[in-house]
Amino acid sequence: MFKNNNMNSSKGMQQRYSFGIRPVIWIMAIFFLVFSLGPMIGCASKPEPKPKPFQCQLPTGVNLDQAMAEARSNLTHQKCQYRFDEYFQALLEIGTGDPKAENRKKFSNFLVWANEQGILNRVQAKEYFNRYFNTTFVALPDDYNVCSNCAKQAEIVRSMEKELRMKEKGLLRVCGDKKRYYQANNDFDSVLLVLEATCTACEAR
Amino acid sequence: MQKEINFTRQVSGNCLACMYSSRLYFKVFLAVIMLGLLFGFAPGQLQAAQEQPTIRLFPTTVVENIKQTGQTAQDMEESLHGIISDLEKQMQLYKSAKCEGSSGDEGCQKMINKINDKYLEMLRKMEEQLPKMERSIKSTKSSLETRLRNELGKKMTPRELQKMLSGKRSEAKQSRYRRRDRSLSQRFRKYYNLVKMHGGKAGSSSLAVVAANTYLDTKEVEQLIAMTSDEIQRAKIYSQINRSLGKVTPEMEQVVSSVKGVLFGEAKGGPGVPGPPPGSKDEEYQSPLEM
Repeated sequence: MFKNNNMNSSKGMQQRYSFGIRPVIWIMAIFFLVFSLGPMIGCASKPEPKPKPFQCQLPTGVNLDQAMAEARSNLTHQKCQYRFDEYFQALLEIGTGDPKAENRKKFSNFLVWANEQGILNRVQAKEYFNRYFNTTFVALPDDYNVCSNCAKQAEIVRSMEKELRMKEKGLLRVCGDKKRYYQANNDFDSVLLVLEATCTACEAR
Repeated sequence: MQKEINFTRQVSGNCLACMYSSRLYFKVFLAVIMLGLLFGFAPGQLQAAQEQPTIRLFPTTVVENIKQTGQTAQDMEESLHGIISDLEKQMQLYKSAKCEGSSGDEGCQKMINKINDKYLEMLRKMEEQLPKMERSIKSTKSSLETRLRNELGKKMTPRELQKMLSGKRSEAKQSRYRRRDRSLSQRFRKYYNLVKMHGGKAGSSSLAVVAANTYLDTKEVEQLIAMTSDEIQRAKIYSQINRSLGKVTPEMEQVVSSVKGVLFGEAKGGPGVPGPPPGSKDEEYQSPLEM
């Protein structure tokens, strides 16, 4: 009796256990299927096409307006923005093919746009414009007085020579603005002469 | 009635005062306009003058120094012209006779002696004139140096310097191509005239260029004077040795060439920069990015 009782009780227990374990196994199996095989089945059934990487292409052609529009569209991509100088040089090159006074305004607008888009800051935009399209020499420091800048006189002269070539490209070859270019050239001569004399005087103390 | 009369008097008296004061103002206004016209100030100029910093590069003493230097240089040129011309002819003859390197030739030796004598004569003449020239040059250089340092070197940044010089066509501007096609006295006379023309004052851009050119010229002449003084001392000692060695030394040629270059303005290098072609005037676009 006791034995039977024992046997009964162990069977009951077994039944109780089997009833308790089965759902756990089932749940685990479902989880396994959902999390491990599911995505694999999904990927295999829906292959997504890989996006092509955007190619930054420098503007070409002979029409400056079109080239600028092309450059603007390209430069909206962050990837192309660090190549701004290359774009600018390409546009200048296109500009030399049809030199006219309006080009100065076009380049100014382009630089203002670049500033508004956050590609260039205001100082950079100003420097670009003035280096190529104005008589003012950006290479001339505007912080300390002339005597304080005499130590780097040779460096200033080299930068001014480089900038005069930029002005030749911008003012003369892109805008056909002889008047402004020759003014820049005259300024270059006068500034170098006065700078040389003043620095000699500063150093003669 | 009495009140009315008083009132009328008062009113008329006030009007007279008004008229008197308005006349006075008008007179003052007229006087200001007249004075402005007298000193050559149009309203625009007055504004421009206010905008520009006042730069005084040429006080009367500097102007007088330049004048004096020009005169001294002219005296020196006149006394040296004939001697240098003879010396050059003799040197040319010496070279064309192929005397260089030949020794013992009597004709060549005579030529060398003549050249040495002429050279010494040139040095002696310069020795006579040099102290006066040296004083004059030093004084001009020193005053210009102080002016350039204080007025341009300390008061302005390099970019402000360009703003001051910008767009003004200047007579003596070429720095890359500074030409020596005028004699020293002519150059100083030209500087003097330019300064006089501008009244020697105001923040004129061209005066800054004149000051720079004059100062650099005085530096060059000062170096020449120092070099010539050394050469005179050396020549005095070695003239006899040179004679016995029978040589026309390269130093002699160099000194003659330098003296000629500075005193008579022998041009070195090619021609200067051609003038700019006329530019177009129709484009006056102002960019918001302009500095």
